[in-house]
Amino acid sequence: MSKLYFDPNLFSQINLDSGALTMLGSIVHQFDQPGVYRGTVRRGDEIESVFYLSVDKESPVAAADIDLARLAGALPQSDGEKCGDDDAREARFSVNPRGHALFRVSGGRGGYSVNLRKAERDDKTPVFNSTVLAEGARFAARILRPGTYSVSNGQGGGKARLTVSYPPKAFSNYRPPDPQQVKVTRKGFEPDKIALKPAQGLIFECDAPARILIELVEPDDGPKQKKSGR
Amino acid sequence: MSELTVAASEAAFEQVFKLVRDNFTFPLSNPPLTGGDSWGPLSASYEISAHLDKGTIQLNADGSVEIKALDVVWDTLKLEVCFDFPGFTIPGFCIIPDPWNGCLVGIPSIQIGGPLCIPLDLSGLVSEISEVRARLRADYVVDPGRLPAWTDLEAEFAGKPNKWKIFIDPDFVSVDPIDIPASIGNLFENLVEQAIEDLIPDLGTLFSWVKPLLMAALAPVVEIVKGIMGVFDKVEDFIQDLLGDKLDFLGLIQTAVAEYLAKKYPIYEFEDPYPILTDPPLIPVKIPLRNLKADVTDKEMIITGDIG
Repeated sequence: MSKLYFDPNLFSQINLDSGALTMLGSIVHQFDQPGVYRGTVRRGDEIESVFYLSVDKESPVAAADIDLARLAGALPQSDGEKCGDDDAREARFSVNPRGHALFRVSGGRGGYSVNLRKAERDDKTPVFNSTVLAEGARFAARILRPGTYSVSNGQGGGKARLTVSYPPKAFSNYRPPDPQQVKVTRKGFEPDKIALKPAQGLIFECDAPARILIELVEPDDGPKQKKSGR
Repeated sequence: MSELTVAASEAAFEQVFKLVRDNFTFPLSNPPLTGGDSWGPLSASYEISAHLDKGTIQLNADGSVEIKALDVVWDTLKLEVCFDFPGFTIPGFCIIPDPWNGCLVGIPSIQIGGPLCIPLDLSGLVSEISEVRARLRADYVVDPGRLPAWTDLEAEFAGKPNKWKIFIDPDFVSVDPIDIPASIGNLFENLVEQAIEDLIPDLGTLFSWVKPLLMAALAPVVEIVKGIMGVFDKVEDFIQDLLGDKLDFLGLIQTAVAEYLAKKYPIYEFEDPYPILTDPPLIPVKIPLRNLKADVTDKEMIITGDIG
């Protein structure tokens, strides 16, 4: 029996918000202060899960891949995960201070944010809160739905216009081009006009506090829709 | 010296051959043969039946019989080919490159896939048995329903006499590869294309853009098929290999024809003892046949034996 396996959230979540991550948005952050961080995965104000990130000069890990959906229990657990006790379910990650932590959502409806602070009280080390991206953080987005979008910074103002073109014809072996880079400054976005192919990556590099919001303004439903004037 | 000689001309033998040929069905009894197999990500199931047609027969001076250009008409040849469709990929990308090692932090690809099954009806396809080389063989067959204590007369009355049966006993059966026309390759490609389209569920008008996006990401169907099914230049080559080699239809038909000729359908049979007077109300008069042999020359078939 022919059957396609896919997560419907992949296509139903059109808009992106760096403060509420879904399958199509990820955040990269560098923790340059060594220590053990206690992290919480949140959906809205609710804490879904707790994890620990050890930033250790001895760690060989250059990129800690932290799947928020898995941490929040939104995905089916493996047998090993089901059998573990509460302590075992407190996931632990490690990364080198010169490396990066990648926060992503591999499935489910998402909507997660992350908050990390040092496990021991340390007022000198800033708290990482993904709803307010600090300088140096990156937000990576994949936009699938063709159309025109508005891009805004919920923390500092500034707007950009983003267009995603309609895909080429079937069986054309289409592969999205390399991702585009956009700088987020206190003044706005550079560039402020972005043209993407469908599923092409878009990386926002934050030089100012940011919460990136990408919202569909006008969908592009292809040549037939345009001809009929809709 | 033989006491019994029966001869049949080549023309008569040809008529006998046609009867033998026309009585052949594969499988020997209804319904069509079903089966299947799997090879890694690929599997196939089938339903097949066939009969024989055309063909020429030649008697040779060395005692051999040659049958040539015998058509195998596949009355039923239904396949279902299934494979794990590698699917659609929403590719990942690198966020932070590593100048020495490719990519330091990257977004993984998202794979969408699933099993895909293609029904293919090739009923009516004709392949060929290029040559059967055989000799005639006389077998003495005791009727399996005959009780050991029965006399020949009791067996006669019970309708279960012993028999001499003359078979065409093949030395070899040479079956040609099943020739798949390019049109069937095209048909298969179209079916794959349609199956992929059908694979994507109707998500409603709000998501009308999803199918074009996924379909655009696919390679041409022939490339997909090649990628899944091996190193074939053409789809028809793959189907030919699937039928002939992987599912071994050639072996099946070769064995079926050889067994049919050698064991299932005699060209002649003689009761033993052989009835020479059978008019009622007298009991039949029968004479025993011994040492029956069957042979051919380039002109005729000759059966010899001893009486008594």
